[in-house]
Parts: sequence; C-alpha cells; structure tokens
Amino acid sequence: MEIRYEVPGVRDDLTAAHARYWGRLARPGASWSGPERVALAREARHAPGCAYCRRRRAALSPFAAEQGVHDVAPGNAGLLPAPAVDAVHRIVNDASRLTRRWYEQTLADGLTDARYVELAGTVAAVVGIDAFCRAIGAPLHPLPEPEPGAPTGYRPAAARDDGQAWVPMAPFDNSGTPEADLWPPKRTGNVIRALSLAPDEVRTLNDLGGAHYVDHLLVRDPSAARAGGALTRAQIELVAGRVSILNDCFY
Amino acid sequence: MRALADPEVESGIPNGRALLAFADAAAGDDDAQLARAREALRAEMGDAGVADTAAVASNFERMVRIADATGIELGDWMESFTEDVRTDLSLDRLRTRPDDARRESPLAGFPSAAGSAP
Repeated sequence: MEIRYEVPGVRDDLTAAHARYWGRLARPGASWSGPERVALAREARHAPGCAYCRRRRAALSPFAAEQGVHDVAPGNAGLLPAPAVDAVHRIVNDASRLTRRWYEQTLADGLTDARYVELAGTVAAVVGIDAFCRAIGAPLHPLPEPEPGAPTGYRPAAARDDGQAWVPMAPFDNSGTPEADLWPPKRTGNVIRALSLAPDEVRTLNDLGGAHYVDHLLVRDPSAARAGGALTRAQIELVAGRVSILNDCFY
Repeated sequence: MRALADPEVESGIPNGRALLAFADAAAGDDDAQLARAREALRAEMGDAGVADTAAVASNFERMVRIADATGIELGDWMESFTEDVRTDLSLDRLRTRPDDARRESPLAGFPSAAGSAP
C-alpha cells in the first residue's frame, strides 16, 4: 500500500509505518473482515460531523442526552451493527466520558469483547494517522481497497479479566505465550496491554508508537529520543503531555 | 510540568511556547489557528520540527482513545513510573480509583465531578 507525503520534513520511517498500517487495515483481522475494517475507518472519519454526537457532547452527561440516531457514513449503510457505529462515534467524539456500564451494555447489545477491542484499535489508529495529516497540512489518505477473506477468529488463550481494564487482556507475564512478542515479560504499562485481546492491534500500536513517539521498549528511559529526530525527549514529553491533558486523559 | 496545564507558565524547554501552541491547535478544530501555529513552529524548528511535533501530537490522539475505550487502570508499573509527576501536579487528589467512581459518574469529564482543582 503506497502512502506518500508531499509535505517536506516527514521521516521515511513514519511514512513506512503508515503504509504498513494502511495495508493491514485492508486485510481481515481477528474479528472483522477487510470490508468491515475499512468501514470502521470510514465511520471514524465521518463521526466528527455527526449531529447527534454534537448534541450529546454538549449535554452535562452523554447518557442524559435525548436519544437519537448517529449520522452513518455514506457507503456504510448495513455494513456495521448499530452497537459498533455507536462505539466508533463515542470513541472518536467523547472518549473521556465512556464508562464501564456503557461498555457492558455494548456487549449486551451484541458486540463481542474481541470485536470491541479490534474496533477500538482500528478507530484509534485511523484517528491518529488522520490527525497527523491534518497537523502537517496534508490531505487525508484515501482509504484502502478492502481485501477479501474471513476474520481469523484468533483469541489469546491466556487472555483474562485481571481487574486492570474493562476488557480482558493478555497476562502481564506473557512469557511462553504466542503473545510474548508484544512486550517484555512483566515490563509494560496497561496502555500497551489494553488491546491485547486482539494482539495485532498491539503490534500496530507498537509499530506506530515507535515511529510517532518513542519505541515502547525505551519509554521509561528519559534520555531516549529518536536519533536524528528534530525533538529532544523534553520537547516530546511537553507535546505529549499537553495533548493528553487537552483530551482529558487520566492515564 | 505546570506549563502543561497552564500555557502562561514558561516551560523552560527550548521552543516550548511554539510547541505548546501547535499542540493546542492540533488538538482543536480551528484550521486557521492550526495553520498559524504550524508556520510559527516552522519558523523556529523547520519542516522536520513541524513533522515530528505533529507525529507526537497525533500519537496521543490515538493513545488517549485506547486508554479511555478500554478502561485501563494506571497499574503498578505506571504508578511507579509516574510517581514524581503525580506528586508535582497533585494529580492524586483527583483520583477516585479503585472504585472507578469517576468513570461511572454521570458528571464524568466535568471538573466539578473530579474534585477540587489543584
């Protein structure tokens, strides 16, 4: 999948990471087909303009707002179940006010935990790449042509609810499991483990995070920054902290 | 650290004001403000500075959504990593874990629901 930036200054490794993700977006995942994954991306792009989301975001509580219907992305009619559309829109537009109760209701409404986790990873990746394009003043990349094939259905056998998230995750000590490549055993944060019910989403997270920010294996080293990069680690953390605060991030 | 929450506070980090202005604009929805902040940052740090700052800012648009959507706890590993920062910013005064009350509150996301500001 070819991704190019005409804007000067974009590192080749960043362009390559985006191209790898765009290729993966088009392919079947563990729980969603290629066309469904691209539909999730299309929905994530469309969600900021949703009138119902705008009313709900303005309400004191998103759960007190008058019930309504999301504006579904053109071309997505019938492709995604309603709980998935709602989850995409909430994660894009009002993520800091999501609750465990809402998550559990989403599962009760028919979305499996594995589908939810893959959805969350897909939405977050697309939002991140699109935000990069907007920030540098580049047009958004056309969505990829979906590839055929069924989802793999893969679910980590060791994944469980250990009280560290709403969603089941692969164990902190992942040694000896097929997920041993996701992080060094007993050495990672929950934000890396968060998507591990869909392990490829963690592989995407690590790939994009290494290109956008700092390799996840080096995050705790305060001297770690990109060799030849334009920012010092202090400058990186200044921007990271500011954007997290503006998004009401508790983490 | 206080510069993260208050743009009037000087961070002491080179190009700090231009970086924060760009971060603010990138997280907002005003395209004209973003264009101005981009050019101001470009004047100080060049094309590569803009691209790398955009990469970091957009990374955290992604990461905060992952954290929020999955309901993760801070966890022991991160608790120890962030202890100094949380103390410096009095962040623990805002926390209501482990009962998850903040995230269950219908007022979640509003300052008055999180307790008194530091």
